[in-house]
Amino acid sequence: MQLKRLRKEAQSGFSQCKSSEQLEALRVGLLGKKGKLSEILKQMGTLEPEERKKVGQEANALKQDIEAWIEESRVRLGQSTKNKILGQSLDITLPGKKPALGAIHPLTQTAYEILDILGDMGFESVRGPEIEHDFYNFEALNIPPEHPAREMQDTFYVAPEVVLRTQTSPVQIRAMMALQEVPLRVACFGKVYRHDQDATHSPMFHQIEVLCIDQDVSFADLKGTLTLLARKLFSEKARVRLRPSFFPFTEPSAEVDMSCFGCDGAGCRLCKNTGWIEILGCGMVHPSVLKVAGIDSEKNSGFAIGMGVERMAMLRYGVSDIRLFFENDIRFLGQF
Amino acid sequence: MHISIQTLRSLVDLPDLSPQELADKLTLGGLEVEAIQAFEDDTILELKITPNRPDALSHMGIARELAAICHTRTTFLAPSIKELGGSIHDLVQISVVSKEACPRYACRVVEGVQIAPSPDWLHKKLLSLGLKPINNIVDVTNWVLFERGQPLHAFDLDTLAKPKGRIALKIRSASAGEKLLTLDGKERSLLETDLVIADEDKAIALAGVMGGKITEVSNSTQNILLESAYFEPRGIRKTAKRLGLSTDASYRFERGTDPNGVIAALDRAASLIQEIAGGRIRRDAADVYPKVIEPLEISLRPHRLAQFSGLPEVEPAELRTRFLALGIETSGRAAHDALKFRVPTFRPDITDEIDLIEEAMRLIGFDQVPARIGFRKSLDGKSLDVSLDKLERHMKTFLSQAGFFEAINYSFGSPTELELFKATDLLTLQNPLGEEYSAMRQSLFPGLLNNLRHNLRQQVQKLSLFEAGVVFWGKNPAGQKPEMANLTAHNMAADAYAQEKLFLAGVSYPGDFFALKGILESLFDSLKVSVDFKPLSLQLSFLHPSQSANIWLQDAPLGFLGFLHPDFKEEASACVFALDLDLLKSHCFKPIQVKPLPKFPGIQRDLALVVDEKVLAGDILGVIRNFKTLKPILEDAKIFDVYQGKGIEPGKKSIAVSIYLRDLEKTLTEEQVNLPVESLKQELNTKLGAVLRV
Repeated sequence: MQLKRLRKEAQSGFSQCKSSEQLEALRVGLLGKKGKLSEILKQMGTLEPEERKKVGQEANALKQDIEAWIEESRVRLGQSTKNKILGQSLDITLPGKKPALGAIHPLTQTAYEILDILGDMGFESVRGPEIEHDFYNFEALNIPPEHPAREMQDTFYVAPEVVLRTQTSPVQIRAMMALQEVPLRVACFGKVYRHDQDATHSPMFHQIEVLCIDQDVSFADLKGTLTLLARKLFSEKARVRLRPSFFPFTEPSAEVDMSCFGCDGAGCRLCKNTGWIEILGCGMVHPSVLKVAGIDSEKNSGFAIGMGVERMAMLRYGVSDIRLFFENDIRFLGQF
Repeated sequence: MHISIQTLRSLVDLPDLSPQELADKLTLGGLEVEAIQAFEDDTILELKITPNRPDALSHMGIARELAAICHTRTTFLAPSIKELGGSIHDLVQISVVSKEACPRYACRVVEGVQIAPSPDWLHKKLLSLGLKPINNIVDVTNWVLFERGQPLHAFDLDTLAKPKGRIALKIRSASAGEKLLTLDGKERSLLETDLVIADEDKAIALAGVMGGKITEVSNSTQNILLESAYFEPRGIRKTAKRLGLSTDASYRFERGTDPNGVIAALDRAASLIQEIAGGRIRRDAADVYPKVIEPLEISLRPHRLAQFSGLPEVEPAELRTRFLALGIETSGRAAHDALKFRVPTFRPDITDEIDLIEEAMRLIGFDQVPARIGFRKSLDGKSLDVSLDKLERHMKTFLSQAGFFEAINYSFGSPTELELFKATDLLTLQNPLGEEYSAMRQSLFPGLLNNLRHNLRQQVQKLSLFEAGVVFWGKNPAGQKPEMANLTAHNMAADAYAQEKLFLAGVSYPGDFFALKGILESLFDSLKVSVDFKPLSLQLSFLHPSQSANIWLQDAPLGFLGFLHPDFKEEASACVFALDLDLLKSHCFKPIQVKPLPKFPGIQRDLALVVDEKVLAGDILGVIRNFKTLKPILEDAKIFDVYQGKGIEPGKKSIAVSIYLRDLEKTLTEEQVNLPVESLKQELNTKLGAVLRV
């Protein structure tokens, strides 16, 4: 009788069981050392042998059933936990927790890209002083005192014959004097200074100087290097056009135009309808510059390129006021 | 410079080209046309002439260029002149005292002229070139200047001193302090380096720059003395620059005019004056030209041209024809592999073979040169030191990914702002844009703090900025005369004038000391450099004295980190740091040698120590790391908690440390660990008064 009641009780207990804690409590209540079934089994010794056999069989059957029910309930409960987790959803449109992210300055980014392209061509990155002797900034570059070319670059003076470099070209002289060997391929990214300030001129700006000296370097090599640079930096379709110009330290000298990347040369606002955009100046290193630096100009020749990094960055990013680069307004820097 | 297409067409046989086509040809020939404008029935080109091409500063110069570019020829007429009356030598005597400054001086006299406004054609020509017509005499001199490039000047002959009926012109240096009232009405005080034209009594013109007011041609002028000369460029430039006086004349003289074009221009002007203002030209020109400047003879090797340009070899005949259009004549036969040319004196820019190579390439066209890359790729021999660039780039990348924005500020700033950051021996500019830009920076902070203020004004509430840039630490004691310098691949700047140091500094607002310290620690980890943060011992008055640290790299000060001094008010809640990259570069990017992975398990022991609140966490770690008994098995020690409050006596604090122990050879046993840890506790007690927290 007792067993029958217990069976019923157990059966409804398991069917109503809702959590693994409840299930464990049920198991302990029935099969534990002091559990109800265990108690019944303990009392069996007091029964008649025939009665004992009958109750024993019944109790064992119940024990087996309870074990089956436990297993069944486990499976059922596991299923429902999984379903419960599956039922929980995230609003994946809520914002993520971002680690703070800054940015490298657009001028630096532009310069690094150019230096990387040049690096692949074997140009090593060097640097030189920003306060420079007149000798390196002017005289060795074929710009003697009282030369009209000095007027092209208004100069800041620190002391007599000591200037803030007006160009990165003095690094050419330093590299040649320091190495005294060919092949020589260097690039220099740095600050330069001119006594000038308005929307398109900053008293401080950045240039990249490129110098390549070896036996038999020709104007064709210069043109090839420029073409590759323009293609990698601006557009695969870019073409370059060289116009004769004048820099005292190169001869021939050229201004370089690139086919407009806005219209591919058809003419648009970006290129003022000319189809071309002026990007930099360059030329073959003047033999007298090689001589000053102690390099035999009969055996060797080379080219030099000087480009304004601000100009490149303004073109690439559509910046129209150069002063934005030096205000360091986070609303501007944050766009890069 | 303005060029009239109508005038050009009278000087050269031009093919039928539109103004735009002409402009393109000039631009691609190296004479950049910046604008094209209509003027009545004429078209005016605005050209930007490079300083090496004084010959192109006139219509005849441009005509010559076009002739060479378009394979055609110029139609210049030699000026003819009708002389009348006595010789100029009876009236004018010239003595050139400053022979070097004035290699040639010539003049003519025209008597009995009628001063009047210029005729329409001349009036219009001047207006079209942007010049203001004055009177027929001055207008002719101006016009001939724009036609031929030779500056001229007309004096009123009757204003010149004429003792004994003769004018004695002297071309001499000014005496110091000598005064001259120039045409623009300004009295100029002269120096001995200035060259003047003088009569017996006084200076009458600032040679090559501007005439004098007293001797100016006026409405009552009847007789004129017309000057045409060649002045040495450097002297003219010096005077013009000193006086801030750039005139059409000085602009040309300082770039170099043609010493052998002096008389043709003089005759052209004299006969034009006669034509439109009447008068008689006296017989002869006075011309002092003691040392004739001869055209240079220069060789050109066609194979050198080919090698240098990358063009296929050019036929000598083609070169000769091209050059002839420019006035460069063939001069006999030179050596077997070279051609020889005679370069006219109006081309002072051509002095060497390379200049002829340039002319040839320019005329053939840069567009004819192929584009290729044929230079050697391998770099033999010495390699350059690029470690600083590598370090700078690494740091910029790291910091930008840790939330910092890179700023770039001017390298010059206000001395007052710089002095807040302990500036000494500031290098200053002799000609700054203003006081606020007059000193070369010794610190990156004035710039960064300005940027911070700018952004705070834009309602930005949280901001981290850094800048990497050169700071200037006064003069370089090792600086030398550049000509004496011994530059090497590792020190290309041995002779630099200033001590230039590459620093990286940052500011983070609002400041969180440990967040910033953590970023720097990770940065140093990424560079595989170990540094020490120690309480501020180097005097840095702009930092909070007890919330800042010096960063040491071995025994050298690498930089600092901390809050700004409360004197900074608003910005004082910012944390800043600065690092010396020149010092750092030699300690990072060391080659990596991998250690074997540990084979045996380690043991961790945590100690909670109660110490006086003045004891620093770093002191505890120092004792642990230097404790000899533990050293062989000590792997690491880390602070994981600091506590003050309930359960801890006031004036004390509890610091919890994890100690990680491992034997590389075998599994550690409890017995092996217990004894040394016990004596460590003893050591901590002896050295720092630390007791275990209970």
